[in-house]
Amino acid sequence: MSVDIVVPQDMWGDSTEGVVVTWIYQNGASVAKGQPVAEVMVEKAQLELVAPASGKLTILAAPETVIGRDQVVGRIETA
Amino acid sequence: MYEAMYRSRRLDDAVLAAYMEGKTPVFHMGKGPLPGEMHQSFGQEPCAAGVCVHLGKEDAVGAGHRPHHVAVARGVDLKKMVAELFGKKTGLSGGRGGHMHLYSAEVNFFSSGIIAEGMGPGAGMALARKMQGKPGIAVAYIGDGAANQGAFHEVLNMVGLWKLPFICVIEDNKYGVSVHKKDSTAIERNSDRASAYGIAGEFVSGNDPDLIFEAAGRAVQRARSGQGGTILELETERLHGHFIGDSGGYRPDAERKAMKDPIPAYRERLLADKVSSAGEMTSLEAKVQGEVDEAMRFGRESEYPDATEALKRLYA
Amino acid sequence: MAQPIPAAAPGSERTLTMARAGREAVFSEMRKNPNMFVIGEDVAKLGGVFGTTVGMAEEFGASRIIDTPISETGFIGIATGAAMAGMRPIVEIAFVDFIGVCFNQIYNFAAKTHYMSGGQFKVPLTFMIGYGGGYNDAAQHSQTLFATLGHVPGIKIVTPADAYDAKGLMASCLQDDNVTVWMVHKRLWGLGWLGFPLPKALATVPEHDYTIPFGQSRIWRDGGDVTIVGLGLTVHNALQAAEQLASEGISAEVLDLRSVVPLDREGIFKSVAKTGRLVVADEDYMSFGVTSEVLAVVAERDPTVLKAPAVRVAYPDVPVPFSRPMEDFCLPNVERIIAAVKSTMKGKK
Repeated sequence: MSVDIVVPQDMWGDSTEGVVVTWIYQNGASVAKGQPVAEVMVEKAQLELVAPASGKLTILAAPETVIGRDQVVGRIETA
Repeated sequence: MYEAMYRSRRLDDAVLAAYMEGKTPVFHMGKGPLPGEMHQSFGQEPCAAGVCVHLGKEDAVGAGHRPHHVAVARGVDLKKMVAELFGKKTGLSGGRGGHMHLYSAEVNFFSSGIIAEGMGPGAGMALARKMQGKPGIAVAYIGDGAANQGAFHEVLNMVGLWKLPFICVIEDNKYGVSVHKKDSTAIERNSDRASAYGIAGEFVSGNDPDLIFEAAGRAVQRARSGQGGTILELETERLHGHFIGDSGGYRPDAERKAMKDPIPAYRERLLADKVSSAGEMTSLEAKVQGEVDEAMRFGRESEYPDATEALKRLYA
Repeated sequence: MAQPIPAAAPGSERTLTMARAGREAVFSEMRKNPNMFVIGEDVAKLGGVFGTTVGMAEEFGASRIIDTPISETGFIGIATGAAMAGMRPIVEIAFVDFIGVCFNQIYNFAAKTHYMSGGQFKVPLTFMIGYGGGYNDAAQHSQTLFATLGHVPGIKIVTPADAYDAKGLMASCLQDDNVTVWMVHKRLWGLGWLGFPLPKALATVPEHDYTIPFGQSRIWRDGGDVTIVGLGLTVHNALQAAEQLASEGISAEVLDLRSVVPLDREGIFKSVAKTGRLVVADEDYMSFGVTSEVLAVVAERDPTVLKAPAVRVAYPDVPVPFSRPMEDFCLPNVERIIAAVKSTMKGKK
């Protein structure tokens, strides 16, 4: 099964968009639950997205992609 | 005073909008027509208006890294100032200085981006007036955080020692970037430090333009009459972040909610006290807005300097 | 955010920004050494203006991650005294420009104390400092100042160009018993608000600890016609220049100094002796700077290895102007490096 990596609701204030700065792991890497997998930026604040599960990472939003709240930016295939 | 506060506010509103051009949705400090850091004055306008209204042509004013409200209250040419923010050749310094480094010799005004750096030069301008037997006093603006710099203490000692006609205005917005004053400053009131240097100290609470006006009047009177310097500590509010892009996540919610904007409050008071009628107020505001719009247009439409201008003006 | 970084799953490599990689070395050394602490403005609640200390206050607490007043002379003096008394302070200064405020404590005391005391007192003190312009922050927040610090005997200075070096050089600084300065160009931190990470500044960074020796330069690209020496951001400009030059048949070697002090004089000379041409790119002011010192290496050892006069691409000797066209004109960018290389190639062929 797969678990989506979603931009959390409470990550930033109202009506602001963010942007993917960088992915810490490459597409296809295996990641562990709780690890930071990506850095995203909202205004000047740089925040982390954390792996919601352990498994194989699929990146859906490349660096420099503008993202919104609740957006699915990646996916983890669990074993 | 209201006019100076309102002009500063409308300028900051316009600058904020222009600054964000090219910076959304991706915030990059170097992009857009107004690049670089931008420290705005939202909430601190009374500190500039209430003091500078006492000053004449012969006086000098130094501001810090957050200089817009002080420059405006001091009467720095708005068009040239805005052109400097845009880095245009029509700017105060032909685009060499930028938002933190505003210099206007015609009104004896300067600002500097390094904390507490205006203390010495400000006191020096006071010393020059004294040595030359010329009238005039000097005012240096710093923040509460700057009172922990060595320059603050060293300079105030000399101000006291030499009885310089100098006022150190401390705009106490309670934050040095993210660090609260209670976590940075050993005593509650920086104005209490005045006794250590043999000068006067006054604290004004509430960010109230009228109270600031009165206290500043006393400080200016002391300086002009040869009684020496003053620490004028003004409680104020930094309504926005340290600079544009700082969301202020380190500030407690309750504190943020409790912040009061001094400008609408002062407007109401002027109307209630019948100092001004609603009609007069509206036409004043329209006039100021027109000036700000004109300055922004001038700044935007002015030409950039030739790149090789970078190599000029190093020496006199 | 702000949690200890969990171990990676096996079989996965991490690509880190320089800010994160440098931080990782600090976390690791701080965990090993209870005498190590971080002191500076905005390091605790904010996590550093450039994110150098994000998450540290949560793990190490307020007694080891210390927010200071805006009192650089005071807290650098305090850090120096603490270092002399057995602690290992890390001092954060967001902008190198601010060393002006406190330079006496750095150059008259911290840097000289080991020497003046005849070795009785060690000063294991590390500065982490941001520098550089290119985002219109004007004359007091855009300087580089390698030479200002490097001129004073007693200070070791490194400046990584990618995340791998950021971690290894930081670890070397923290393990050294002297005053060390770890400097990163703001464009290279990997913070989006100063520009998206440059692809070559991101690097695969191992989880385990490692160090990179001081004074060891790194060849990023082999070449036979000309050596382009850079450091920090100018390494990336040099690499881009080298790529374009390659398409025109010019083979450029790109040498990253990595350390300003000690300088890898052997490495510089070896490369220049091979290629016979030298261009040095640096964002610090030109005169009395890193570029001068690199040229001195060749002049002192054997200037006859040069087939053409060496060229410096540095910041002209003026303060950093605010206005965009003026700043762009001054920066040691790719175009200026290419033009410099071509000027050394005149007469070839």
